[in-house]
Amino acid sequence: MILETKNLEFHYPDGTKAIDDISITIPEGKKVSFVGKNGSGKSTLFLLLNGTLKPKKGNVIYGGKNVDYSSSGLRDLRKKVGIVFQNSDDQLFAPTVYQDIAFGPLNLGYSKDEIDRVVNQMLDHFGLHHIKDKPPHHLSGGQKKRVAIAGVLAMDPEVIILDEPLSNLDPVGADEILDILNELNDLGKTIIISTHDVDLAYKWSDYVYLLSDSRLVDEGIPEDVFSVDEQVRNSALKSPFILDVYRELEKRWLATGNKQPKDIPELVQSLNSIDLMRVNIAPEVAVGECVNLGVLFGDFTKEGLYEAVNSRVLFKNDDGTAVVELKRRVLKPGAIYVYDMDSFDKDEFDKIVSEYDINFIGAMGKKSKDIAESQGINVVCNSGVIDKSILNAITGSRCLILTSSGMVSHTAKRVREYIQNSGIRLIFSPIGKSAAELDSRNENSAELEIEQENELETKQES
Amino acid sequence: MRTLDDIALLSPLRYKNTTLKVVLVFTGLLAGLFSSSPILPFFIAACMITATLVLGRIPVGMYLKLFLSVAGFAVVSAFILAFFANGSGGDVLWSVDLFGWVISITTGSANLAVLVFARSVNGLACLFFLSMTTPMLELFSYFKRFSFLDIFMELVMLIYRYIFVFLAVLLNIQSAQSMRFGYKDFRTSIHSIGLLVGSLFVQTLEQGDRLYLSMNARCYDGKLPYYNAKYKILFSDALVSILFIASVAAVYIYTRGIQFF
Repeated sequence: MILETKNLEFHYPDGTKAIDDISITIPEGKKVSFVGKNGSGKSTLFLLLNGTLKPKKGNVIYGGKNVDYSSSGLRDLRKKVGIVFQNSDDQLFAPTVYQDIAFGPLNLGYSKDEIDRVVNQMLDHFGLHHIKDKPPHHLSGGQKKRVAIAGVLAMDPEVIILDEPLSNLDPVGADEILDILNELNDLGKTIIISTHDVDLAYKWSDYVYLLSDSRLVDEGIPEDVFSVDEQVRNSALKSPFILDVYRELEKRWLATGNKQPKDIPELVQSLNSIDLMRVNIAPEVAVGECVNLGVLFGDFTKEGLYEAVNSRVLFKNDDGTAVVELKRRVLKPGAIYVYDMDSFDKDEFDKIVSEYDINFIGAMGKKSKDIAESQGINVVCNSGVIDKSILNAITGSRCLILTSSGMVSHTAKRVREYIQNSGIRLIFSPIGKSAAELDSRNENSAELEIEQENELETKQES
Repeated sequence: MRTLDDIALLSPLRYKNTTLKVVLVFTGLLAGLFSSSPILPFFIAACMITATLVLGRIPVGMYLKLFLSVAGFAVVSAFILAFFANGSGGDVLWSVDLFGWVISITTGSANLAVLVFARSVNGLACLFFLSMTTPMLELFSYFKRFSFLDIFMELVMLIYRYIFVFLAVLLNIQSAQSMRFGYKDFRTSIHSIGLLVGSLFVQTLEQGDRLYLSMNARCYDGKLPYYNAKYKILFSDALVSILFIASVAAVYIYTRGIQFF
């Protein structure tokens, strides 16, 4: 615990309570957000944390010790706990960027050379070299914010507190500042921000404190804090957008997951991999019943050219449509075969092409391409052969990959990995003389498919 | 809005040695002042204007606007001098009878008027050169070298910085007021200006508080860093300067006593 408060209380001179009995513990090296509406006491709390304000009751504890409010004690605290103010103009008071960044180190009594070294390091780190001789009123909002952060970082604090760091910034500028914060956190700094942007707090922080009317309402990891809708609403906040979307999807059985998604990739991952489709159904069909959809083809198929499809109704809409879960059976599955060109034999090759009804031939490696060319084989594909073969096989083609013996096992590995990860049913086998030893391993993939199917069925039952 | 300081900040001559610029400007000013012929001041003014516009890349329109607005005073005073400074003697060039009151221009007064006009234009051109190529920042580091009082310097630097902050605030308030017809007639204008000044005053006090807070948050110990602008005098700079001073001296010697009338 790097920074703690115990039963902190603070009134403004006119008697209004700004902080009411707040106890927090901030662990070292974490990203912490204080979330609350305007006027909920975030800024005041921050000024208490770096000793600018003195609490009426309770303690601020830094590194296990009560804060010493003597001038030398405060100096030590402020060197460790830096504050970046919401309005950069409050903070940037020197006539040039260089002077502003040099302010902290100078007042900490660094030598001239040391100041120069630190400032130049900051200018490099934040990409500010080209504007070092400019006055702050010539800078953009994002640049001002970067200078402000650099000015605080120049004192090498352990904790950096930022009051509304992204307010008044354009999206790109805001992203830059977020990147900087994440980077500083990676370097071991504890980062504390205040914000009323719940989306930011939800996706960015390791730990969240929810403040309302000068009081601590809730604390915890963002998934927990924001999952209590009522509390969030009472703090005059809304729940994070991505969480709202996820909940609506979950209600409609379109997404499931063990944890709530924090960002778009996680949301996409939580989308059910079960095969869903929106169809028109007769009104008397109830949820849970099975409907035969017949044979699908073209864009509606997933694994083969033609698929026989049964479906189960999951959710009925008011307009006569329903979301159904599909159970597909490929009528003629696609296939990938691998042929070892080192033991090329014209007769055998022709036999394979006709027997397996091959309609897509790809060649890998210079050597096999040369052989194929000299033998007059019609190679359709020369690059990205494995991927293209998989794509073609999914749509029902029977593909033959020509490769040298060294590449056979690599190809086999790639294709099997794909089958395993996607759960899509493909026939895959090395063929020809040298394929015997690889053939034995082929059994595994078949077993995998069966497992996949079982999993689907258990999902349906639940 | 672009201020004179912004223009100076963007000028390439900003990065030239300040001392050199000051020396050149003072040479120009003094030479113009001691010259008995109007030719030298005109010559120096021409050099300075060219340097400001070409080397300093100051927009011509902007320069003309500023220059003419000030030069207008010089024209008026030269005109008046021509009529009323005829104590210097010489032949009467032109005279007019105004209800029995004869006003005349003599060669002496005409020459004096031209000389005064030339000197004013010279002074203007020299000072414009300095102010349009030397932002306040360079002057701070320059003052610092002459060991001005620290407290004075710090105040000047803070004031400099916050002039621009409050300038932005002022413009915002002003447009907010005029958007809602705050300047529709004299009475409302006076009222609005009163409100504006009052609100600015309150904001300066608050800003002062916040400034003190943020300085303390960064361990303020009574020290402000100084801007150390040390620009070396390049060979080309020295060459141009020597050329300028030499030609000023040459013009001074060869035009001594030459008058227009």
